[in-house]
Amino acid sequence: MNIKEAKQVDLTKWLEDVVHAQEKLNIVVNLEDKTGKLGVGDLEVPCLIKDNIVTKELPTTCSSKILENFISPYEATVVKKLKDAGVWIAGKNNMDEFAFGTSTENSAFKPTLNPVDINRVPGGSSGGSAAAVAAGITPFSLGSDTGGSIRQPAAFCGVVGMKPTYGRVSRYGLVAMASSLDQIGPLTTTVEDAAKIMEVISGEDKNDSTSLSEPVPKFTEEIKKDIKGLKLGVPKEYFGEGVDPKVSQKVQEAIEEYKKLGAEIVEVSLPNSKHALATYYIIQPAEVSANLARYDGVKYGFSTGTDEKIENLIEMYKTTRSRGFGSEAKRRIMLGAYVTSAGFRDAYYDRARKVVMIIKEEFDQVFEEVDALITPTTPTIAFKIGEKINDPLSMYLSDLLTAPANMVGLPAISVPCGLADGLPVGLQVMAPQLKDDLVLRLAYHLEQATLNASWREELKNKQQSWK
Amino acid sequence: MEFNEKEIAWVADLSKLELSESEISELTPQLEKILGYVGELQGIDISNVDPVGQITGLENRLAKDEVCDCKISREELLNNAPAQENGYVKVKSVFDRD
Amino acid sequence: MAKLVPTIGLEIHVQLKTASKMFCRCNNDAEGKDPNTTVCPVCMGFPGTLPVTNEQAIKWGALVGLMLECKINNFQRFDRKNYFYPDLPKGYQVSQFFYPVGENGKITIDYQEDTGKEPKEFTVRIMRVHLEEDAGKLMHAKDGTLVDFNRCGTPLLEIVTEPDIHSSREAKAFLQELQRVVRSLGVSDADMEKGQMRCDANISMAEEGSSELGTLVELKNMNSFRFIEKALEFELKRQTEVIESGGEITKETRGFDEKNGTTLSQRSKEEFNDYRYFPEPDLPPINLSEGDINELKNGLIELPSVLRKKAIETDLVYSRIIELQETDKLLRFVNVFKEANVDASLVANWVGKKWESDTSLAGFLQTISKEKLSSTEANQLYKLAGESDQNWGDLVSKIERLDIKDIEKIIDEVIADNEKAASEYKAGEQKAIGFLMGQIMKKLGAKGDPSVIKPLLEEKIS
Ligand SMILES: [Mg+2]
Ligand SMILES: [Zn+2]
Repeated sequence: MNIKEAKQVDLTKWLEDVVHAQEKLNIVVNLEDKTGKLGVGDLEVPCLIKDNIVTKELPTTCSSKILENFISPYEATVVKKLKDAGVWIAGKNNMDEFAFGTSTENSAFKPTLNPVDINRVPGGSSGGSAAAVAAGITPFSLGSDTGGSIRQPAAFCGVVGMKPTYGRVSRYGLVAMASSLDQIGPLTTTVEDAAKIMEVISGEDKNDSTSLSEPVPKFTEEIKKDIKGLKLGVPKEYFGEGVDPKVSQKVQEAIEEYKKLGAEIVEVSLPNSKHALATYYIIQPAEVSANLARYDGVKYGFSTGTDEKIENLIEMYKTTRSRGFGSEAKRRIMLGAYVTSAGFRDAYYDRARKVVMIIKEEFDQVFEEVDALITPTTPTIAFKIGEKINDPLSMYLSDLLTAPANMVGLPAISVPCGLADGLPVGLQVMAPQLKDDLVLRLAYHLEQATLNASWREELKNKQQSWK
Repeated sequence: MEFNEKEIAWVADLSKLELSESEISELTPQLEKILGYVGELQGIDISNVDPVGQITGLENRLAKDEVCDCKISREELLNNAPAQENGYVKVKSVFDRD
Repeated sequence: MAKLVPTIGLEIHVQLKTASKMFCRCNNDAEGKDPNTTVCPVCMGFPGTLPVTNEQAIKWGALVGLMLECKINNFQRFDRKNYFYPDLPKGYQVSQFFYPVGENGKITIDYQEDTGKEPKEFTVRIMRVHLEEDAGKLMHAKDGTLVDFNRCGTPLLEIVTEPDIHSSREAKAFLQELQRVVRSLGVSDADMEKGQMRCDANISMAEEGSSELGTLVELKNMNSFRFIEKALEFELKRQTEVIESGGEITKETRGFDEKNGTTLSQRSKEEFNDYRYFPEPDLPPINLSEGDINELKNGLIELPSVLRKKAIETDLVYSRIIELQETDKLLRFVNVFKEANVDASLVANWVGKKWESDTSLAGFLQTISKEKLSSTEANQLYKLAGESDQNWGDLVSKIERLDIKDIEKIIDEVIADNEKAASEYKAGEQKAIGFLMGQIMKKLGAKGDPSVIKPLLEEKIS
């Protein structure tokens, strides 16, 4: 369902469809039980958004037990913007707890299933969002992307998912995972819809000191400009070790499409990009360990504070946090505390920050040569439920190709480019900071060029197979 | 990277987490493996990198000192808290009970 | 055993009286407000909130740094100081750890150990000045701890001295001087009783001439100048006794016990707090240009000690100079002294009254001096003028002035009427003179000036 179609839906019927999808796929954590009111604007549609974006009408749980019944006293900037445009936010999408994961199996409630194949994960952490868009239930969802959490599930479910330039969209009201990397972005059926949502949610926010003041382009118009003569870099390292050749193959085919559209393809090298994931798994947990310290049972959320058996404050802290957080959250908190601790900060945290600057330098140089980069979004197609749950590191490696854009703040988009073994493959476009219009434009032209490709029909059918 | 149980206990304490025996025995090799992976950064030459470099290049994002209409009511605050007394948020004693 | 010398370093937190808080725009004025009524989602650390730095706090931080002769850092950055405590909503305090406001400052202070003694001078080097956010307040109830978050997020300026202080009296003088500085800048009321200025001390004792410092004891919980003096005195005495009796000082944190005037161990166990500082990712760094800093320099004011030096040159007694400074009258004193060119103590006597302008006060004082007015007459003149600038010459003609001959006549009359009292006084009865004075004053009415009458009366009787 795209935005245009969503404007026509009967809201009562729509809500029934959401409930039905929920029973089959576990796409939401909380849902309005009555039909709400659409606002007035050019986006008068119902939608679902990820449950780590705070709303006043619905709880915001981050799919964590520690926030199970939490209702925010204020609402996120993006929520305000959507409402002002006419959107009715009817429910909150399931996710990996606090956005920790690449499969949505880390939800404290239930894992979300991939509508394309219900035995497989939808990706994560915005798995509920991607699944809901793929299943045709919501015209769009907002997700959050810290290391690939929008793009990877978009790729796994066969939808469009965009991580904007760091700072392009306000983070005010996005429950922080890793503050220097988090960005809110859209998941949609079409690239044009992604551009539309980007127009609504982008812009400077006085409540977010890291938001960017540059004017917001008219993305829906920008994307239609042709791509003749654009130089597209294909970094060989993003097709190498750890990347499924079948995935690479589909992306290579799409690159041929770009050639046909008049783009110039240049092979480039980003040798330090392979270290991005290691920097990610130092800096991200470091920030996580601080960002999750506020869940201490004192002010809000789950608490053992009224438990008679708990003797003192320290015990209250420890029991609240140990019972409230899931295992992945604990793992990252511990990892983050370790890499920033007095004896190890030098070797891990400080070093990782410097390596990030080296990676950035390398991107800057490549972007002097090319306008944008084309890579696969994920190293593999959607994996089976339970396949990686006991091996955190292999789960982490799902972000291998997406994490670099977060580390250096680049805009990046994942757009479907074919099927491998019958499952969707995502193509990733990355561009220099603030070239959000360019990643959308390149995704749009690939989408338009493949509208009639045979895999499109097959993907559509599979996305409805859960019914 | 060797990660022993004493270090696990120390990090857990820093993080205010209480881990069960089984959690500890599961976490120890997992953290070792992850630290082993991120250890690949150790060989990279970082001697020429600006220690205060940051990717956004933003600076001086300051707000005028003007009071806004943004406060939350005491009711809203206290209702979120697990316990309250006379308008205060109440927590377990910061002192050990002996 | 050689003489033991105390070494003291201070860590002071000063609340800045900005309108809004350090990182959110909710009301920073919690004075007299009910608990938990001046907070917003940001300072309460609600999920998803983000800090936005207060421009005024940045400016004031640098201004205080400049006053303390610090090198102001162009590059400043906030970090997260991580620890769990119920008064700290986010589980970390946002504070400038790696790149503070300023470093390497100093301040020279003169003070008087006791009234009558010569003023002394000493210099304290400032290690660093940095900005951070305040935490909430805890109260201890029978069955738990109560938290008031109102103070959360108030801008704090932390000032850390080098261990350059060597007595409790110096510590107090330093803190008083710092209070004067921030008050005159208008950046803080720095009232210790209200917690607007708080102080921790690091104390050690070492033998005179020793190049090494003794074991450090951290002293907390001293919330008035008097308590600081008392706590330090007690602690210095305690440490001296321990060392002189052959004992060893334990590295520990001690709190001041107001009730008993003693210090008590709070944490004796050797504990290392790992705050795991790292840069606050929600706040881009601050980069002050030299131009910005120069602009701030326009806001600098004269140090209180410079003002005192000028006052000392007027030959006014030192203790009166301090009194005038305490009541914020010293600057006017110095200015009026210069303008009026009359006796300093005369200026000091009148500077505390309400005046329209310095010129008005100067004119008044010159009139008193020229006309040799008694204090009673001067009072009459002041009442007639009514705070405002006047033609003093005209006004003097309107006050009732007593001729000295008239006074003498009345004194003679009273002595004649009260021979008994007069002879009693002669015989050494001091009370008698009070009686005689009373009689004379009754006859003279409001015009009588005891300071003029008394010497005359004494002269006549003896
Ligand atoms: Mg401090
Ligand atoms: Zn606030």
